[in-house]
Amino acid sequence: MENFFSAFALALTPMSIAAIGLGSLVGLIFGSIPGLTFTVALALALPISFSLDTVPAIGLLLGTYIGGMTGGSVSAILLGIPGTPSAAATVLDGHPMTKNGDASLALGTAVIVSVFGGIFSLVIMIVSVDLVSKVAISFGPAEIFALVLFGFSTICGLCGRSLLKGLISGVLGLMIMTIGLDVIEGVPRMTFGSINMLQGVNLLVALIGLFAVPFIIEALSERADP
Amino acid sequence: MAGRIHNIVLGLILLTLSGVWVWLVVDTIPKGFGGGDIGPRAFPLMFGIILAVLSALLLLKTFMARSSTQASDGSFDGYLFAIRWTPAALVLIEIAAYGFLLKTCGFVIATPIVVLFVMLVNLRTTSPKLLLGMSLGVTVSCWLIFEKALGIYLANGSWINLG
Repeated sequence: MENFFSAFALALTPMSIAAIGLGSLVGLIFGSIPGLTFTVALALALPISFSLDTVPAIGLLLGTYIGGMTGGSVSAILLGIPGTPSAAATVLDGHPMTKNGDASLALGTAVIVSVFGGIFSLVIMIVSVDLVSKVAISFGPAEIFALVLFGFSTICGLCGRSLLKGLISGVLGLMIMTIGLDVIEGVPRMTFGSINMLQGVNLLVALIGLFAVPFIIEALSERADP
Repeated sequence: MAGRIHNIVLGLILLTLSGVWVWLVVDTIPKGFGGGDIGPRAFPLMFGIILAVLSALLLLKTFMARSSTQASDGSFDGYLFAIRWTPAALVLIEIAAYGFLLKTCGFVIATPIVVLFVMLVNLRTTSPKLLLGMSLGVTVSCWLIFEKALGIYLANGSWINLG
């Protein structure tokens, strides 16, 4: 606990707070733009962090990460396009609120909930990091299989009225994830000779495509038939 | 009933997709070196077949469902929820064309062409000032922000390159 308080004191120095603020702002901007993720923001913030002391540098990177994750909900709410994979669920509730004229309420709620979620998960991490690390080490193929099975079973709960369409969505997702280099035998699958496709389809790219394309078609249809 | 038409179209598209997928899997992915049942081809093939079965089930379920062409208020759902074929086809063509142009001509040439096309064809904009301003404005601002200010490399063309 003593270590925690001394670290807390270090994090509250003006330089650390400034670094966290700057990182959050940059992360928020990058997270808000679909396609520009917090990963890009982190890659840009990394060289800057080399010139800083340890604590402000970590503050800058953490601020960028958290700002980027929160920023993903901005484009999800305003445009209906998730800025980060985790903001995909925000589209379902946030974007209809924007259409109803409650964009500021949705954005405010998303930011407040992100703050509470961040603090809550931080507390949980501090309390349970020892236990979680033991579980993480013992996580083998059987546990991963069980987790995947759990993921499939949630399709039944999330697919709404049509189980068949939920299953089709699940299979389509699995098909997309088989694209790329086979990890066991190193055989390229559905890459059509492209080097970029060897790493597979990025989850965020797939999500942006899935959410953005219908939105664009809908917007263009409304424009064409007022 | 609009849902019925949507389901038939969806089922047919997915069935075609699964057929093309299975054909591509069999044609392009080898069985594997080990000689066992599970190789690099196994899972993509399995998912393709499952998709075909599920699509066929969706079609079967839709055909067997009670057909009703008119909604309770007398209006045709098919008219209210018509499938937007033209915008959908245009968007898909534009995305594919943008990808091709990015690869061959690079970002600086591809972006104004696609923005100009979208504004002319999709948005039916006729003002020359707006067309020129948007196409050049988007390109130059993106190029300045990403390529110059942030150092994020934009696509370079294999045929022509201005960036």
